[in-house]
Amino acid sequence: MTRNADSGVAKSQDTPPDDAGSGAAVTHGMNVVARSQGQLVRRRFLRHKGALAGMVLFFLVVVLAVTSIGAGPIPGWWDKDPSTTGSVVGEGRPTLSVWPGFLGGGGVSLGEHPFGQDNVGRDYFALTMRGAQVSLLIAVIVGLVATLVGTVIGALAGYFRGWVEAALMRVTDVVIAVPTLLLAGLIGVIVAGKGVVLFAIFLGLCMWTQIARLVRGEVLSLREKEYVEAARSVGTSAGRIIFKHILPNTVGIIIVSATLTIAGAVLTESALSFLNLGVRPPDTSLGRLITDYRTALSVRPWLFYWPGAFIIAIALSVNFIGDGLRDAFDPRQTRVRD
Amino acid sequence: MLVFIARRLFVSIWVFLASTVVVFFLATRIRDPLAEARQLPDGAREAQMAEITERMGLDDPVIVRYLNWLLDVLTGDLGVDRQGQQVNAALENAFTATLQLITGATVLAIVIGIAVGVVSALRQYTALDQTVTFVAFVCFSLPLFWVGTLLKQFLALDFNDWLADPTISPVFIGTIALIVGLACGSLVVGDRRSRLTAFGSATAAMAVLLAVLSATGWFADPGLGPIVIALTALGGALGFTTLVSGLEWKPPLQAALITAGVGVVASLALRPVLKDPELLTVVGLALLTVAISGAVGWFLGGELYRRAAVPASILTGLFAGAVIFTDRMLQSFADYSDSVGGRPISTIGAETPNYQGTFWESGLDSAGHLALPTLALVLVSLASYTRYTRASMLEVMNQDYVRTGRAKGLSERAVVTRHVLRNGLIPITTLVAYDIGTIVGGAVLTEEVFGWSAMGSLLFQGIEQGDPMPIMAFFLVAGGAIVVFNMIADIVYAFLDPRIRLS
Repeated sequence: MTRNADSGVAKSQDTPPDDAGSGAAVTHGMNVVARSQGQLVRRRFLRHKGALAGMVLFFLVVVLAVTSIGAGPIPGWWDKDPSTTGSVVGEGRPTLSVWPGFLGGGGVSLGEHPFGQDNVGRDYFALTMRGAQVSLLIAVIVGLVATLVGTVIGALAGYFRGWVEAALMRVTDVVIAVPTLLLAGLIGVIVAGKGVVLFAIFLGLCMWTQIARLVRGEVLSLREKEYVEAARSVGTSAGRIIFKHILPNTVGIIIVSATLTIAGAVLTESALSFLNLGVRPPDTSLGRLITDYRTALSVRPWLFYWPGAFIIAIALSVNFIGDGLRDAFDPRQTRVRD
Repeated sequence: MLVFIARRLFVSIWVFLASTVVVFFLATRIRDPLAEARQLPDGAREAQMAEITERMGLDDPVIVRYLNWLLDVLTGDLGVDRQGQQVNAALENAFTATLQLITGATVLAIVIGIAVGVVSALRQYTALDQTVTFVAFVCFSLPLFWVGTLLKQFLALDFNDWLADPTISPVFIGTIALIVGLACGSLVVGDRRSRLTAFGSATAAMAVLLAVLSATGWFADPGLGPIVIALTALGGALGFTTLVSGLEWKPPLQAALITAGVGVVASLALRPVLKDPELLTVVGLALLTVAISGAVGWFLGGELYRRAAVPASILTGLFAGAVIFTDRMLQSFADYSDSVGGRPISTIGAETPNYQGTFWESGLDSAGHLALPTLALVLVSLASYTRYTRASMLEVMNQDYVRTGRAKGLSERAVVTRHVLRNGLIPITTLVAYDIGTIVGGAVLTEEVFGWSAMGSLLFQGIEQGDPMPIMAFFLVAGGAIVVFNMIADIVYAFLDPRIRLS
């Protein structure tokens, strides 16, 4: 995060030092504490209740998904395996109970199969956790790839202008012109069976256009700033100006759109898998689970609820985090209540 | 401006052409189109393979196949699929179905989304605003196919079962009344007392209304009746006049009230005509309504109030017409419900096969089939309009000229409708245009969930058979919509905001 004098002062005036009872301090223009941009952003983010709740929820989902069944060779604390079949106990109903005993419920306990079992007796908690792991992995890879490609293309187009910009933005327009479901679906079919990581990378290559456009817009205005002019006049190379001077100042916009891309990726991946164009067996994901057990909805509705609930939990928490980040990075955002 | 449009058009054509190349090349690589033919027994195999190879031009390089396709498309021929069926015919049916599916949902989502966003911005940081924000985020994070399947499984089945004995339980009445009351209470500006009054009266009114409807079995045989029509039209007249000009000026109010009166009288006079009208009759009546109510506004408004009286009167007229339309539709509900075995909300397809009925009954048939997909689509797409409208409104509300407007003593209504709304909605127009572009491609999921044979089935057919022709037909419409509406968005934005066009 660069700390340049004018924005630092301006922002600390915009932001009252504390939320409650700050009216007097602001009107008298007193009590202005110097803070770095990073501190300002962090403070604004931490005051955003929705974003904090989203952060906690996301953290819980990730921890649950990763530690429960473990990742790769590392075992988790849950003793059942997603692929082991077995005898179906009690019609495979969920044994999770959260209704405390003193309210007339069965007490808080996980039971043998907290999320129930499918028709061949696989533990649905383990299956859902496996699906959540894959969905999260895909979403993060998509976020990284899309952000990287979008940022580089946007920055080059915005900085060099002329034919570079024309060519890059036309490429962006071409990708935009193809509906995401069509482009990602076709690619999903072509790379089918080559693993989820490859699929995620290609999905990322379909979802970078928004970021490229935003970054280009930012770079277009930043490249006219005096400090860029100064850097150019002392002979700084274009690459150094872009990566050292311009991009650090667009980091807010990049982080926010990366977050929103991740939320979008969870939904897009599940939609593609639902249409049989994304993740395929033997791999599984949250969307794949919904497709697989779609016909069992009237008999075993829990097979349908749990993956859906996890998709919503992930997308919702990431969206809230993105909203909080947007407010935190927005210098106009003051959120003073009157 | 013309130069801007011409340049934008030129770029769009090239971009679209380039994207057809990309999609065509991807579409030829997805799957071996001869896979099924290879499984045939020895004798039939060669003949079948040769036939498909000939039909799809598999011996030619991809570039030749593309150019052939392109030349054909330029003459309006979309080619034949792997079985030798004309793609044109398939596309026509599919497109009609998709259009039917998305039109209502899009309009509803835009209107409701913007209205909720405006209200939420005007009541920033209240409980209402925070509830709306939270609900919008949840809707934004919903997987469409999941919601659709749930609605299908539970809402439709439960609603149809409930219609057999349509009484509402007291708990349900209480809950609905409480929600409506809370919403009304948080909408009112003022001290605690006036808000509590609004909350109390709205809750009580809603509870009484529901109880009466439930007790009289209204839901089994609904309808509005002349008195309710008259009252609603009157309310519409007052509401639209308040929005357009405020109630303090007489002529616009008179014009709207007279239009409402004419509408109520017309609903009684036109009974025989409305028994089983043609679609054209209904459209004609709507045009007539606009003409008459416009004339009423024009003459009553006089020189001074014409600009307020004409829109107030036309809006009232159209609203009254819509109420009468709804009433006729509702009156046919009992008959329709009987004719489909008491299950009016359908979960599969676009229409009941071989259904014959009056204009109203076939209208209800479409509505019953559209209800669930529309609900799912609106739920999912509502949120982005709400969020954007709210953000855009808040941005404008902090501008200096809005403060100036308040400072010089303009009424709150004038500030909001003339200064904030007009400028706040400029970015929304472009968002709406972009969104409409992507909606054809996005409807694929809804179609799949609700078993509509529409644009999505072209796509799936092509993918399943490794056949580029249906995929390209799908893309011509879905991608074409994106390119055209992106162009419209840019042009509209340039038109509304001169800073863009001059730079």
